[in-house]
Amino acid sequence: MNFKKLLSSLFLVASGFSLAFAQISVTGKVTDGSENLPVIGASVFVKGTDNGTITDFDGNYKIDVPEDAVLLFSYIGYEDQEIAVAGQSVINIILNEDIAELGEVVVVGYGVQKKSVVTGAISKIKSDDLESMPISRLEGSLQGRTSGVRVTTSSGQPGAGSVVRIRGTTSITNSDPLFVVDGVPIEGGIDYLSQGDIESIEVLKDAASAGIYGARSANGVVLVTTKKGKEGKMEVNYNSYIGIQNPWKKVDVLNAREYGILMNEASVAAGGSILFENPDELGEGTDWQEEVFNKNALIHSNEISFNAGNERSSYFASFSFFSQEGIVSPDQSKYERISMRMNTDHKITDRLKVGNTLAYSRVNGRGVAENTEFGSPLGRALNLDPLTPLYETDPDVLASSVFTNFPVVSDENGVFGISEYVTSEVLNPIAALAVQHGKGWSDKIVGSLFGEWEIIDGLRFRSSVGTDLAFWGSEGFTPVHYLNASNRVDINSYGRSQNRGLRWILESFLAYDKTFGKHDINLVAGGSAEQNAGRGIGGSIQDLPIDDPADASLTFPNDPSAQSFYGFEYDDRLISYFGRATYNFDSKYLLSVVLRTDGSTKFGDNNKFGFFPSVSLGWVLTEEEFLRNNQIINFLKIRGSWGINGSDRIGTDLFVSTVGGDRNYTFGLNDDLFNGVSPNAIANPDLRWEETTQINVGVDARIFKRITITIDYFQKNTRDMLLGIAVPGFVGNVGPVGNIATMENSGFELELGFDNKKGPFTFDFRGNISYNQNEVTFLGEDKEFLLGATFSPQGLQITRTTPGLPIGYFFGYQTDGLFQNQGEVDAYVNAEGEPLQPLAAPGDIRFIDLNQDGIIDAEDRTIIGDPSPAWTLGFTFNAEYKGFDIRAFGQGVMDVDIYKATRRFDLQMANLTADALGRWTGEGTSDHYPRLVMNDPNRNFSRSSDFYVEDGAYFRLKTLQIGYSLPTSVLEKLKMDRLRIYVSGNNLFTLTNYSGFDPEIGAGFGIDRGIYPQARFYLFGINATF
Amino acid sequence: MKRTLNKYLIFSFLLVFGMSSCEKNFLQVTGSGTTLETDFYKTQEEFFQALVATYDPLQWGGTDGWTMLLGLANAASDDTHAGGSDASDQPSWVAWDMFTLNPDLGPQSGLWKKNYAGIYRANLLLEKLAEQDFLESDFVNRTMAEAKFLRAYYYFDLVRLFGNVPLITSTLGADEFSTQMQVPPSEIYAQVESDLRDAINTIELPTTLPPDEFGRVTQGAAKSLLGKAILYQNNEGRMLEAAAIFEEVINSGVYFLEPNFGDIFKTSNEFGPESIWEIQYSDNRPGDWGCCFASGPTNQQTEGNYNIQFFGMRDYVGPTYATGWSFCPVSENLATAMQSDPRFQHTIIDGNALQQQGASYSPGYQNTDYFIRKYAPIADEAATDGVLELAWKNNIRDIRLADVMLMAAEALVRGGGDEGAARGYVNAIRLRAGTIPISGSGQDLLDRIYLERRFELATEGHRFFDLVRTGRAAEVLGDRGYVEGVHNVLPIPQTEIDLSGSLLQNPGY
Repeated sequence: MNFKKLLSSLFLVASGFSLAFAQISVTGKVTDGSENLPVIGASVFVKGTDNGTITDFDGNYKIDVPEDAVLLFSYIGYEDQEIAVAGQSVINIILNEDIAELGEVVVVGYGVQKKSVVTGAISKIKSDDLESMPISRLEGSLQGRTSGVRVTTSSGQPGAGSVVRIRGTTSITNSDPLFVVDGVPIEGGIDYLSQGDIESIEVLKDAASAGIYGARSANGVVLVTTKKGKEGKMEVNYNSYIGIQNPWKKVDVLNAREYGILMNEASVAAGGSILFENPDELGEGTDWQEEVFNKNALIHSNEISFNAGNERSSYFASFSFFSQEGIVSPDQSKYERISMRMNTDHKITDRLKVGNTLAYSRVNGRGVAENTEFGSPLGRALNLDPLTPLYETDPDVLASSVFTNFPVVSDENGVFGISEYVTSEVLNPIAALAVQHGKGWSDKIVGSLFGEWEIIDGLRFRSSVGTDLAFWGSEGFTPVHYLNASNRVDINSYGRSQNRGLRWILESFLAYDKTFGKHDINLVAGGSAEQNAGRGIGGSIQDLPIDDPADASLTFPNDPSAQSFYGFEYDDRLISYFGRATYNFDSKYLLSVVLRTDGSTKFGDNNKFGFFPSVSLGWVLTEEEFLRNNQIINFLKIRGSWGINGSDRIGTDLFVSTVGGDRNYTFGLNDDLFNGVSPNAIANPDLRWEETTQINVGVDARIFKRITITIDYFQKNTRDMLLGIAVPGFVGNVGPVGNIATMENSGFELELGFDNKKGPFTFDFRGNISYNQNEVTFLGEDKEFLLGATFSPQGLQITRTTPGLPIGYFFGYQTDGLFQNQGEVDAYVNAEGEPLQPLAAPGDIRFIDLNQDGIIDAEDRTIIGDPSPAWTLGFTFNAEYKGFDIRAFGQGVMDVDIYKATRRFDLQMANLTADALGRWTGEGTSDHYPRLVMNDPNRNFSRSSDFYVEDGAYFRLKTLQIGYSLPTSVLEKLKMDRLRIYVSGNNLFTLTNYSGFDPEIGAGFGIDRGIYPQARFYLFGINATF
Repeated sequence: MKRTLNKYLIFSFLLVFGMSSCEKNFLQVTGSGTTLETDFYKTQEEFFQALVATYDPLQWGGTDGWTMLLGLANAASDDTHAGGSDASDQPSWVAWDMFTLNPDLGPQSGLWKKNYAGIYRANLLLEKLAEQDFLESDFVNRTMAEAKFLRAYYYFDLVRLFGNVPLITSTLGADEFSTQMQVPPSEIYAQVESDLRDAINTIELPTTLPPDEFGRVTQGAAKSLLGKAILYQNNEGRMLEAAAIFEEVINSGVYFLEPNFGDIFKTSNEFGPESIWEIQYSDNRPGDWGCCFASGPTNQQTEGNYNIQFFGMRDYVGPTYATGWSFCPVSENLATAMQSDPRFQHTIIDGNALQQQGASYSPGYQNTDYFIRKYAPIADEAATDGVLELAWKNNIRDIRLADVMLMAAEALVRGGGDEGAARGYVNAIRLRAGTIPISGSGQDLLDRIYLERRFELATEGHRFFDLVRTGRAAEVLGDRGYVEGVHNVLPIPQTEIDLSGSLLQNPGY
């Protein structure tokens, strides 16, 4: 205990613990208010101390307390009660069942509101929900836990970010929500937050809730509140887990024997020769996935936090360390984070409060390329032939000119094999990893300081300053190497970058709360100024006299021509004024109006300030006579909102005319190059924010005391999205960027909760399901579509955005099975009797002449899939019985497609997935997988078609956790308040029809180019409280 | 305490609600990492860079596809066909070759944008020069003369390519984008002449250049272009005026006929004694495939001459030449006509003869087994860095003395001037070529001059414009589909009509 006392005195700014009073003994019985049964195991504490006990099997307790003590009675599922002892020796207590989720408060911008009177669509995630969940980044905490929020992890790589979409994709420019942590907007590096520091996360989904963030609210706002010290004795929390991770799935590809057979078949079909004389003798060959994947990759997390407080001061302090190895190449794919935090609150006088938050974190990460056909380890593992050995051992090959003349790559086990069959970027993945020496780091200090003065009762003035100071950088060494003919480096190089960014925000506002009889008003008015500026520099040096990456340095005195540097600067600023008026009559009729205006350096001179109004209304029917004290419907509220939100994520300096160089010309006999400079584009002083108008109607209800229901319907129209304006060529320069395109999202959301908080068996279930529909409605007079993603060096167009269709839909030919025989090929003719596919043979794909113009050409391409899921769902289930608990969390999407672009069709000898074994080999053998033929005259594989599109729906049991909490009797001996041990499995099963590594593809528009899959974890962990 | 609090309160109020007074300044960021147009044009060096950018579009060949005027004009003429791998290789080239052009098909969009990009940069530079008050007048006057020459050059191309184009002599504001109207060709020519005369009358515009300035505008270039612009207007009454200007160039003592015809197009002989105006290309700015295809008026990163790659023999294996893409195969017509002319070997590669020596190539679309020699890719001259297909350094000899002498001869004959002098110019060229002198006068002489132009300047991009301006195009190109009154000019790009809402299509399209 001395240790704790020491900490207390260290952390507390002002100490005001009560001095000793005379002790008396108090006894009593705790009973249930509705059923009049004893409450067993209820805790009885002297408020503000760690002096306490629990009730026995008859609900009785006995405790020695100071005469003037206040007793705090609490039990899970019941409302807390406080009773002043005031000399009484017997205190019997009746605890009332807690259905007070409605009394719960939610954080809204610049204040809090009681959930029961909230008129917007706000979802809340509490710290309890996140405890002992192995989530490395904040975005992961949002996944599956609330409706209307779709979180797709970019990949399974440690530290990978996520794509977060609140109510669908709001813009073609940028649809990322605004994250605000303790009032400080954080853009980039949100992973600095340690999971254990988070008190609550509020997601502001509708226009009225988000509207207080004006020009940054269109994509939704995520408010994160970190923990604060609680009044009372010091509490030490220690949470830790350690576990192993493994890939949950391998993709079946051809082994060497099958590869030999199929390549022979494809070669002969194209009129070529047999490539492998005896394929049966080739055996299994190299299993590249086996080589690339890492077994039993380690993950561990340790968090310790301290919090305490008295009536004057409180603090929360924490330290955490998180480390995760990748399931692919642990040396090159890993993530480590150290973070610490100190949050304090102080009452200087009864009317003046000050406080701060301060967090520091350091992240070190290394990553491998992911989801690209141009050189990710897994993409290579799928495409590299199984004949190439991991290590070349054939002396003849080793004596060949490639191996003797070039700096081939080797490690302590030998020289890495080089494929004879598959070229370009499809390298030996292990050899390619061996020459990769890159890493990134960041240091981030996020803090805020506030003062709040209650000028008169109900009128508060609050002023705060928040900063986000970030340093980040990366470095990489590329040694001399030869991987294959097109991937060689003859001169080594080393590069390093160091960057610094500072965002500060200064905010002040007045808040007035007043209740006149049944009228309850709350007013907020204030302003803020914000700057986000940074600069970075990087340099590289070539031809270093070293081979070991550890020796790499920028200080080698190389010739200046072998050195280069680059840099960048940015400076965005925002000035805002905001106000909110909330009024409710008798907690029955609710009204809220929000106004905000933002001026930004990103907006053109003619539109420097944007104005964003919103209004919302609510009606609590259960406060009306006809529903009051209804036994079925305990609470019912109908609410609606309308508002205009903005998005300022439009890039800097788009409205001015800047000049650019490299408009070169040469003069002189020796062709001397001169730099030419001219304006980059025509200026657009009218450039402004993108704007989203949203209406929302919703219902919040609680029925049968235990079932909570929230339903929302929304419609969101985005306009003024940025696109280049086409100007006539005679203008002589590129047109400016302008506010042009429009888009619509609509959908509904359902959140359902069911709980039983009365012991001994308690549980709660919460499920959510969301439906979203997206349609791009206008792209400007001059554009029929926007080009999207492409695949392979051929640049096959595979996504497009077109008015009338969802954003970024998959684009290609529709197919109609395979030609089974020559008769079918011959019969596939147009109206003139000409063959539609003159180059086709039996076994080839039958493409559909969609526009029926008699030829199959690019004009026949159409929508063949949609990467945005229509349905997003998630659930959590927690149950507890006599110290044992179970926690389950699952999440999924439905009605979604994945474009499986994992094979480099342009490399004819690239390996195939095992479904190629089911290819067409004769009439009736397959109606899906075409024949294999090297030159592919019918372009079965080199056209984007629905052949590549698969169902991407999945449902995944993200977490299943079983824990045991030690009983109080044991804990007392250990002098602990809580000790829980648990085992946890993550990604234990995934229901999906998708055949690739993983259906969760966050990066890259739903296109699987060999995604780094999510790992399956098994963890062991403890939660302890002293 | 109370006092402090009040101060704090007042301070905070000021902080927030007093922001409005300084918010203008706060939101005014001087672009970091970028130079605003308003902050540029502050030094002589910056003005020079703006001038370089005004030269830059001269060499563009990748605006809205492959749109190099030299190759395209060859394809449009009877000197060569379009070629390529097959008919669908470059449909816009084939469309001009076969006169199947329409508002959406053809090279018009790239040629339009390229020239207007040059005009925009020239207009901007002239405006900025007029606004400034700190530069030395020598620099200002020479830069202004060069900018005016370049503006005239771009307009000359526009007027001979499109006929009716908007005349824009200042940078346009957004409200002017949809109010531009086309003007008759005479107004464009008037502007061209006026700009060129301004240039010529600028004493700072040099007559000769030091070697490190080769490629910049000279008096000779401006006068030659002025004469050419007058000649193109087909006003017989002004022919002697044109002739006089040409003769100023011829007699300036600056230019001489290259003694050996075969040397004119050697890359080692760029800016030779005969060279008056060259479009500069070089291989010192290597690029990659992604660099060069802009769909609008923007920057082209490599400095290479794409024509060279186009004209080479496809899949060529053999001596001397590098492989190319078999565009602009020389027509049987030209090859036959020049068969006995000594210039044949320096003008046309005889593929059959090469094959007999053991070389090989793949026949492309419209193959004749004859290829362009003057701008052929030479293996030894290929770039050593980057994508060599995009980095051929061969300059285009856009105006050379022989051309000017032939134009002078033509102008003299058409204007009723000294036919002896005209014959003299033609025969000087024939003598250099190693062939016998001509005689004759009147129309006969004129026809001999036109024939001489064809032989001397074959595949240099002049033939199509010569045929059109002298009214012979229908006769010569009629069997290819040329219709007089329609194909004299290209269609106005459909996107220009759509985006401006004010331009009219050329007749017949």
